Parts: sequence; structure tokens; C-alpha cells
Amino acid sequence: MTKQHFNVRHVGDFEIGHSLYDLKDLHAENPDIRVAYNLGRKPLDYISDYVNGNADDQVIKAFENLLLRHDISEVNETTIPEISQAARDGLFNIVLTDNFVDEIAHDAILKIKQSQNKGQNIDQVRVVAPFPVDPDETANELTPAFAVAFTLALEERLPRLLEQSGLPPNISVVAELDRDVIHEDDMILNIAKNGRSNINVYGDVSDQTEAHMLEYASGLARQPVYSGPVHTNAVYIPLDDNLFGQTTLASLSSYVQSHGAPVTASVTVARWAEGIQDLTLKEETLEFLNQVIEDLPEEQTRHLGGTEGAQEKLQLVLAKVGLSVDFDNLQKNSLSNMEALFLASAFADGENPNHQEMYDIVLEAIGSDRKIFEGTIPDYAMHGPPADINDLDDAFKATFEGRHIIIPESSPRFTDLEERNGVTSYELEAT
Amino acid sequence: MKDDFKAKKDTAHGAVDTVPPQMLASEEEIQVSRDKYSDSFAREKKRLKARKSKAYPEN
Repeated sequence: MTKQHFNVRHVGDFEIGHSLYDLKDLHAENPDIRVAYNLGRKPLDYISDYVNGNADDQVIKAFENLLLRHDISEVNETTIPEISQAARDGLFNIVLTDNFVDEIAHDAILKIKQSQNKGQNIDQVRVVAPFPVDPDETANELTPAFAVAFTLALEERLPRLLEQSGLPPNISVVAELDRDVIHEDDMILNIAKNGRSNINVYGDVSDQTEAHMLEYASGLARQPVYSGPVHTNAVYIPLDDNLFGQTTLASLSSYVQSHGAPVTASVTVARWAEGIQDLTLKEETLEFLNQVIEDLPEEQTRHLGGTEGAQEKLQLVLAKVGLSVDFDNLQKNSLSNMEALFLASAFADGENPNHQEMYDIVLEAIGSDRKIFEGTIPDYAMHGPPADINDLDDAFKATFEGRHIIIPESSPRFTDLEERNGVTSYELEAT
Repeated sequence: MKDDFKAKKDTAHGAVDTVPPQMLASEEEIQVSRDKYSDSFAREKKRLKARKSKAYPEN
């Protein structure tokens, strides 16, 4: 049995939202389509049959969680559709900051050291992209260009960091597309035709036939299929233009890992572009949080150490569960709307009409409604606050369980979640 | 290397014996894509290196 990480890195509401954005339009035209994107039985059956006939509960749950965590309204306001046409140089300058490149380099160094400890010698860092075989469609110019920019930046910064880490500085950086340095066959490629893993739906949306449902589901199930040599003397850095649904990069990472090579956190343009690299707490959500916490009776806040002020109280609560909000710089906070919402709901007083109203406003603001959360949040949510901090802590753990939280493994938050068993690594049988 | 080219394939979910053969690209299609991406890479590498040497002339 090979341990195959299901690549549990970071999925935010944002990244998976782009595909769902298309579904939003569909939904506007035909509310019944909601059945599809809430994963009714037919898509699940199809996925279940498709994925090796081995779609266990964890995999199904992962799909469900993936879809439940979307934030359609946010996506609607993003500049993602323009990113592919954006001026590359300006875009890459925004993305490839020294800090960012160093973060990935440090991740690579960590993997090199871990491999050395296991007796595996690493002398190469390979930048690999999940290119689909797609001869009839668009020529993706952005990803090769990004691969060049990232590779050059890494070549520049890695030697010094290697030296600082006590490693030989001559570990080479190789981009798989670079024919100047590698043979053309020496490249991992996604050989599934149109093997994109997003869930766009095309065609007549009023067609609710079984065939249409299957076509929809096949978008989910059409997994990339990778082919090409994996070098066990290399650390791989997966790179792509945009991170939408995680499946493409996650499966690329799994492919590499399952063939014995270590993989760093993924590098993408969109995820790291200014203003969207981290999830942003919406104003409505923050307002709700503040209101709920301000309204808490004193006996319920005593365990927070008598701290004054809603934000301070909130920070203490969040710190207990390994999260934090940077109130001074909300663009960079690490709390997703869904997590914030959950927190809010946990504190909300179900008897308080203000809370009920605000809760609905927040839900609406993230393009959701209460129905979606049925069964996914603890019973006490909106029926009264948790009894104590441990209750809240348990509830957080419960909501994180089974979710795909994709955060760079170098992030303290990833470590926190991992230590708290908040991140799930699926062990799948590799045949 | 080519012999095991297609043997090494799987997805996030493990092996992909269930992928219908018609969903997989032919060698020719693979070659077309590989060339396309490598050509893009080469063009961009040339351009970026030229820009860099212009921005930081050796002398």
C-alpha cells in the first residue's frame, strides 16, 4: 500500500467559486439546477461509479464539502476572467514577490531535508505544470509564461536559501517544459482529452434529462490522467495559471507523490494575485460577529478573561481554535466566510431577533441560505450559544473534519490544523 | 521511456483503469500539445532573458 496524500492544501471559498459562477447563471435561469450543484444522487452515483468504483464516503464527502464551501457572490466580483488576458509582466510582478518565491523555496528545502532523512538524495527541483492535451482548443500561453517567470525567480533565490539551510547550493532548478535542459519526453502531461477537472456545464440548461445530468457530473468526474516519468531525485513544484477547483493540481501532486517524489505547495497566479490571495471577511460577516459578541451576556464572556472589546474577545476565541483575524488588514486575514459564519452562528442567540436577521443577511451576502447548512452545523447553532469554549472548539473541529483545507504546508495555520486533526489526509490504495 | 509512458497514469483517486480509452489522447495529440507548450515556454524564456539583460546590462 502506498500512502497517497489526497493533497489537502488549501481550498478557499474563492478558488472553487469560479466554476460555480457558471452554475449561478444556470440557477438564475432554472432554479431546479440547484439539485445538481448540491450534488443530488445522480451525480454522486456517477462519480461513485466512475472513480475506480471506489468512491468511499471520504471521497464523496470531499466532493460535498468542496461544493458546500463556495462563495458565489464573491466570485462574481473578482477579476479572474480578466487575469488570463492581463499583461503578464505586471501580473507576474505582483505574484512573484521575493517573499512568495522564498516561501515556496523554503517548502522545497523542507522536502529536500525530509527526503534526506529518509535516505533519498535530492539534487533537482522540478517545476511541473498540469498541461492538458487539448489540441483543438485554446493555447494556454499564460501557464508556460508563468513557468518561465517562476523558474527564473527561483533560480535566482534558491542558491542562497540552500546555503543558509546548510544544503549544497548546486541543486538545480528545472522546468519540465524547458527543452534547453531536458529531453522532450521527460515531461509529465495530462493525457486525458480535455481533461479539465472543473465543473462547467454547457448546453441547454432546461434539459433535465438523465443524459444532461450525467454530462454535468462528468465535468466533475473528468479527472486529469497524468503520464510521464517521475524522478525520485527531484522535489516537484506544481504550477498552474489559476487554481479553481484544486482537482487538477491535487491530482498532479498525487501522481508525483504516488511515484515516490516529494511535492511542495502549489504555485498559481490567481491565488496569489493582489487582493485575492487570502480569503476576505465580508463586512456583513464582520458586523455580525461584532454584534453577536458585543451582545453576549457577561457571564458568557467571563471565560475570555474579562477582555474588553468585541475584537479582542473574538481573537481569544479564535486563538483557541488556531485561527486569527487581522482586523487591521482584512484583505489578508485567514478566516474564510464560512468559518466566520460558523463562529457567528455558534455564538448567536437564537432568541434574539437581531441575530436572526443579521445571520440571514450574512448568509445572503455569501450567496447561501440556511437550507444548505442543514445537518452541517451543530444543533445548538442558532438555538443558543455554546456552553463554553470547549464546546466551540469541538464544533470547529467537527466542521473542519473531512474538509479539504488547502493551505501551503509552510503556513502556521496548516500546522495548527494538522495538529488539531483539522486536515485530513486520505490514504488510498495505489495499484 | 516511451514504453511506460502511458503505464504511469493515475489520478488523485488512485489508478485509472476505469478511464475509457477514447478519453485518452493519442501519441500524436500528446506530441502536438507538448510542442505547443514547450514552444510557448521557449519564446517567453527568450523574451524574459532579453528583458532582464536590458534592465541589468553587464557593463
